Amino acid sequence: VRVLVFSILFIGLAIGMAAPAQTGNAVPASLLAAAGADPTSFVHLLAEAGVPAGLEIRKTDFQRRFGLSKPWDPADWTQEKLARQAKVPIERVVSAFNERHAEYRATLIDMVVVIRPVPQRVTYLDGPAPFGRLRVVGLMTIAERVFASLDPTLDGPGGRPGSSLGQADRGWNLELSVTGVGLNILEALNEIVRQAPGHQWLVVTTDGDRPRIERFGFLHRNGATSEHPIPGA
Amino acid sequence: MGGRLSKLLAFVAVAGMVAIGTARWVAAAGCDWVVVGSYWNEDSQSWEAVWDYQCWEDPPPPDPPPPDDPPPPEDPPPADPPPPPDPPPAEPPPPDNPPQVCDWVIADYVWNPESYTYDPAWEYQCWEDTPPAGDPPPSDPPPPNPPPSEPPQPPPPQSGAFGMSFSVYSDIAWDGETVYAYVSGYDGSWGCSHNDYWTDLFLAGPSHSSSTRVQGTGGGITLPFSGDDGTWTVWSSTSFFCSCVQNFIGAGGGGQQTLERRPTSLSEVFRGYVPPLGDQWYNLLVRRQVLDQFGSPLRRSNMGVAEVYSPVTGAATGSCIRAGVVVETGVGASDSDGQFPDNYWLSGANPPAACTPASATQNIFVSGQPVGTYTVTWSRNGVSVQ
Repeated sequence: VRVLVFSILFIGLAIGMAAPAQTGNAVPASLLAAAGADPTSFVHLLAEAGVPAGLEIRKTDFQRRFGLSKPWDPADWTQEKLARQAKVPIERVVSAFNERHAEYRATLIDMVVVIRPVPQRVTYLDGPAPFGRLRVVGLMTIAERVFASLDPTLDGPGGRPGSSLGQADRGWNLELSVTGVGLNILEALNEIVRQAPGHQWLVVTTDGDRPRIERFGFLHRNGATSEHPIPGA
Repeated sequence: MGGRLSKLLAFVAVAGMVAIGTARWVAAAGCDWVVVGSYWNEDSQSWEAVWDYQCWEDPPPPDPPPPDDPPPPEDPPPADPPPPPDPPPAEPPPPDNPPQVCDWVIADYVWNPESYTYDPAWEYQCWEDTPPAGDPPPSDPPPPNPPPSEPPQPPPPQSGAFGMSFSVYSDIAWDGETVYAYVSGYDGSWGCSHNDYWTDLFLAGPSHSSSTRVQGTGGGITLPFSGDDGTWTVWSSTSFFCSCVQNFIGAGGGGQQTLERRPTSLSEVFRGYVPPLGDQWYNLLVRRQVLDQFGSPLRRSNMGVAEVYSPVTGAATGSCIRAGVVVETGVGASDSDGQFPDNYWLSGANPPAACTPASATQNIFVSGQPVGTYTVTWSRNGVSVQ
């Protein structure tokens, strides 16, 4: 009986100690330092580390990083180097970001790091998802369906011109499936990025007290983006 | 070509500017070593006497020069007198019969704003066996008037004094491949003769450097640029023989310039259709190379590349391109060769058989620098980029 009790205790302890690793919330420790970067760069680095995330950012803050060299060295963010790093709980990284940023706040929603401005945010993301089940190929194609109620040209017939610079996987061939029932739009976007590792959802808003969505898209690895402007925004 | 850079002027006064009048120790008639001037010794941080072997009669010179034309210190004659004692005596030997001596002496130093020098103020004085205060010169340069804040200019030759002044002009030029540095020294000293000029030239970029030695007061030096962006420094050190101190003395100067290649334009290295992705109807790949201001490939990785499109025009009713639609864009970075792909596509479900073309203007930026403007026209089965 004594052996049985000790065995049960040992197994229980082992399960308890292994629990944090099993939740998958341990991330490379270099993200602690990366949390001090601007929000866009930080979300890019989360993509490099394979941590799903989403970013709502004001246009001025989003444009600020363009024209500058990337604030990180890609050589430090290879998968090999990330795998060799010590790991820290993702909650610590979220706290580190919030300690260093007054105008944006990070929260962990269903294991997706969601960063939004404070206090003004667009209300569209908190509204109910205006679709049932979506099954499409391509990240931007499914995003156009998610944001279709913003602009009738997004879901109408005919072609959409596009252009992109730089070598990057932009998720053109990804097969995606999302059921919007019972979700708000932000939760639907989180579901998309969970299915597309290395791609983070992006919403750029107008500046000012009553922000509107100016463009949407994704942040990819290697500093790449896909962006779809909203006409007239 | 060229990239002529700003001219740099460095002014270097050698061992401070010195203006010293004659200071004669008077003994009995005859010949002896006398102090004819002094110079500032950087090593010992003190004024050192300049000795001259001279002969005189008693009384001293009957016709002293006028105050506005004080007697110039004589350069030591090159030969004849025996070499100065080594070391020279700290104090000249006292005269056997101290007489009353009168002579022109420096009573003060006055700042000359035109020549940017301290000029001696001469006064005819008489004394017995010791020179008046102020002669020999003080241990520190006299500061009667603070010099103006403007940079000093090479002083003109002075009469009745000697001084040393050496100016260095430097210039750095660059053609993207080679860095050229030129240094020109100007010896504006007066009162002493200088010769046997040799100049060491030194040119350094952030990660490599070179040096050379030339005869004269200046010259040129080159170094391959080798992608060494950053601050470049040219420096010269000229040494020459000065008759007053009977030794070689040195002067130096130089300047700095930031040499940096920047993305300026683009060249096209590939164009062709590639298999479409997702719901793309076609996908044109144009691969571009970033060029620097000299038209050379800028092989630098991780340069941010971004694009801005003007509104789409020409998509009329009935077009297969949606009216009022905007161009979906994406940004990225250059590869290690300084190249990046640019993909153009038309996407959507159920493509029609024909399409009214629609156009927009594409502006491309690399590291924030505008590098290219293109007119892009999408039609049903292809896209033109000009």
